[in-house]
Amino acid sequence: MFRLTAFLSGAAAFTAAHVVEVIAWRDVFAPVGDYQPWFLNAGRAVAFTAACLFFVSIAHTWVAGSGRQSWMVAAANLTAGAIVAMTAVLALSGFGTIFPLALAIGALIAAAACGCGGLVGARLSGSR
Amino acid sequence: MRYKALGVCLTTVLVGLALPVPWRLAALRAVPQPASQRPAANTGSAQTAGNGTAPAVRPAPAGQRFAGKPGVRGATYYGFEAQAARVTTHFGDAIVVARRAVDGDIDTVVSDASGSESAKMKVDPVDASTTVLRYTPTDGTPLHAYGDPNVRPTLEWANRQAYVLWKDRAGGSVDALEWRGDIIRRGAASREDPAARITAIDTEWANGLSSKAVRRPIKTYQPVKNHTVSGEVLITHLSQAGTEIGTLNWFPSAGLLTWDLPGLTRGFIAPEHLKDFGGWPFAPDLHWLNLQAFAFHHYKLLIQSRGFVAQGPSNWPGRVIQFFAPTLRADEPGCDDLHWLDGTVLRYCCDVHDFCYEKNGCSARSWWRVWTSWTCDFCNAWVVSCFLSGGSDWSNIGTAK
Repeated sequence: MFRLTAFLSGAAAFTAAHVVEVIAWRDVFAPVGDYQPWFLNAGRAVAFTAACLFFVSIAHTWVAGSGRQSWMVAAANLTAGAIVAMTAVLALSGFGTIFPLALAIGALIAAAACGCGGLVGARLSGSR
Repeated sequence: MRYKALGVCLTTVLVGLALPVPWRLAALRAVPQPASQRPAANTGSAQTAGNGTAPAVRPAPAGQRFAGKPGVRGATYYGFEAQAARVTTHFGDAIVVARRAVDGDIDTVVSDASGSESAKMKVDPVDASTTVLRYTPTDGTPLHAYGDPNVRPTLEWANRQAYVLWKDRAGGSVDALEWRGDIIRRGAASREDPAARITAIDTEWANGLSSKAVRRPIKTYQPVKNHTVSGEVLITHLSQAGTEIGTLNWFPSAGLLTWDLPGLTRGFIAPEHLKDFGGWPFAPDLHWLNLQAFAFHHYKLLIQSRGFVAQGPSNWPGRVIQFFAPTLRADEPGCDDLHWLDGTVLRYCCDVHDFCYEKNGCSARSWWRVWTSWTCDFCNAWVVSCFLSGGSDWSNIGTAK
């Protein structure tokens, strides 16, 4: 079940997190090392991107007032949007030698973050 | 209840992925060498032993990463040092210049503070284990001595050795001399380390590059956030045809190395980055800084010149793309696109996969152009299985034919 708003929210959240990482890469996320800004290249960037997706997922589910069954659909669409965005970023910067594994691990992180956020958002929405 | 259980599962997965991974690799360790084989290694003998039996071949454990002996500089250091054509060492009371001759000899000239030539020394590496030193003071008797097979002669070492012999007024007989570390000194000489009297070292390479390292006193400040330095700093300026192209700073008080080669690389290394390896395995000195500056320039320029790192277009869409993706990547050491995992057991999977790719001429396209090379497909299949097994697949596919 495709939900455009959730899909775009996921893509926007990942893109926004990536923009912040590009800007603050040297100062905050990876002061050491010559690797380019990419959320799986530094532990802090992983945590930051996951946190962004988590909170966007909470906000989306809570604002949309998703029902108890539909938060999973919203989380899945958020995750799909984030995966499309991360694939686009990786394609623009050039695929590395193990890019499918990078995308798979990135997708796992996005799914976990969006799933947790959706669950929390659904609980909050239900308690209103 | 269902939601709680699901939430716990998802949170566990998220925390497990995001937190710093605990499955760190053990520190690199030196290759052990049996005592019985040390003399043979020094003489370079690989022939049969005296009793007619061939020496045994030592097995090396599979799946283990090796490093050189801690504190002993390795082949990379000597490789870069061998490219230096001339090294000038400034002491408080003398300047010593070493040049590398085409036959591998090292010619050293000691000049006193007034600029007058005071002594010469020639280091003649006869073979891999035999070196002859010919020291000739202007106002004394020449000295001929064998070098220590364990001391690898470099331009910087020759300068220190020549300076010490000049200071100790050595000459004629070797009876009054002794080895102190890697330096021949007069037995009655003070215990002071001659390296402590070095104020600057200039290193010149044949391709027009040169670097000058100096000591400077500094006030207490923070060159990098949360790293306070004081005392002195060792600074190297790397130049090309007289134009400065980069700097390196070593702060001994904080164990902090910073560098900035504009357009090539910039960063720092602090003790916390080396804790898995027990900190700095050696104390960087002026000559090492010069060589490290040269190495930075060499490697980074090599990547650029060979086109592994493409330059982005200059039009506005290109600049937008460059904002999101500043450079196109080469095959980087470690886990490409996953450098977060470089310090984990999965690093092994990435390194073997990189080796497999290099050996078989694969590229990232091999992932979707599966019909082009079975060996590349094999590399890819193996790295997936290695990741899935948590890096515990130790079969050596890097040598796939």
